[in-house]
Amino acid sequence: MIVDINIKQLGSLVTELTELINECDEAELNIFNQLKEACVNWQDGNSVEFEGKMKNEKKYTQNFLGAIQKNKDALRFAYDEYKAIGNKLYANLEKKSAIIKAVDTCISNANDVIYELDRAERGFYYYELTLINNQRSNMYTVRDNLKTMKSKLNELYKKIENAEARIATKVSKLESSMTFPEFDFSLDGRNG
Amino acid sequence: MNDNKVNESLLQKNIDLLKSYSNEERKNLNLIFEKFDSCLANYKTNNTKSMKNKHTALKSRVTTINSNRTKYASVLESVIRRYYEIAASVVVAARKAEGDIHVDESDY
Repeated sequence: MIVDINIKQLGSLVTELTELINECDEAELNIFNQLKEACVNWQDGNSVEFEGKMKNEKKYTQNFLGAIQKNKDALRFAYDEYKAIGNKLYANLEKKSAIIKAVDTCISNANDVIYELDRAERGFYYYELTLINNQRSNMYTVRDNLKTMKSKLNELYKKIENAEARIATKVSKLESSMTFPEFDFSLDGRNG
Repeated sequence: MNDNKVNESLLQKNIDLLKSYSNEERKNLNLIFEKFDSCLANYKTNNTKSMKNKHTALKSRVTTINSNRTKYASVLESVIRRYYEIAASVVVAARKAEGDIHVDESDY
C-alpha cells in the first residue's frame, strides 16, 4: 500500500470545504424560508398540500447536507490523524520489511566494525590509538543513530497503519446511498 | 383555486428569491464536489477509493435536487399564471354581464 498525502494542502482544502458547506447550508435555509413565505402568500387547498410536500423536501435536503458534512468530517479526521507528522508524507508500506531489514543489516555491520575495533591491537603509538578510539566512538554513534532511525521508522509505519485502520472504520460508516426522490406536484390535483 | 388568497406580487418576489438561492445552492454543490475531488487528490491511500465511492453516491443525487428546485419555482409560477387567467376571466365575465343587463334608454 502506498500512502501519498499532502497533509498541509489537505488541511487547507478541508477548511475551504467547510466554508462551502456552510454557504450551501445558508442557501438551503433561504430556499425553504422563501417556500414557507410563498405558502403564506398563496393559500388554498393546493398550497396546503404543497407546504406538506415542502416539509418532506426539507427533511431530504437536511439528510443530504448531513451526509456531505459526514464525508467532510472523515477527511478532517484523516487530516487530524496526520497533521503532527509534517507537511507531506510518502510511504510504500509494501517495502516496510525490506527497509527495516536494510537498517538491521547496517546496524549489524556497525556492530561488526565495533567488534573489530575493540579487538584491535592497543600497543600502538598514541596517534594511532587516538585514531582507533575516535573511529570506535564514531561507530557507536552511527550504530545508535541507526537504532533510533529503526525505532522511528517502526513507529511511523505503525502510526500510518493505525491511522488508516481508524479512517477506514470512519469511512465504512458513511452512507453508501442517498435517497432524494423527484418532486412531483400538480395544481390539478394529480400529485404524486 | 380561490384567487382571492394569492398575493401575486409577494409570491413573485418569493419566486425570484427562490431562483436566486437555488442558483447559489447549485454553484455551491458543484464546488463542494470539486473540492472533495481535490481533497482526494491530496490523500492517496487504500481508503481513497471507498471515500470516492461515497462522494459519487452523494453526487448522483445533485441532478435530482437541482431539478426539484426548478420544479418548486415552476409550481409557484403556475399559481401566478392561474391567478391572472382567473382574474382575466372574471373581467370578461363582468363585461359580458354588463352587456347582458344593458338597457337601451332611448325608448324612454
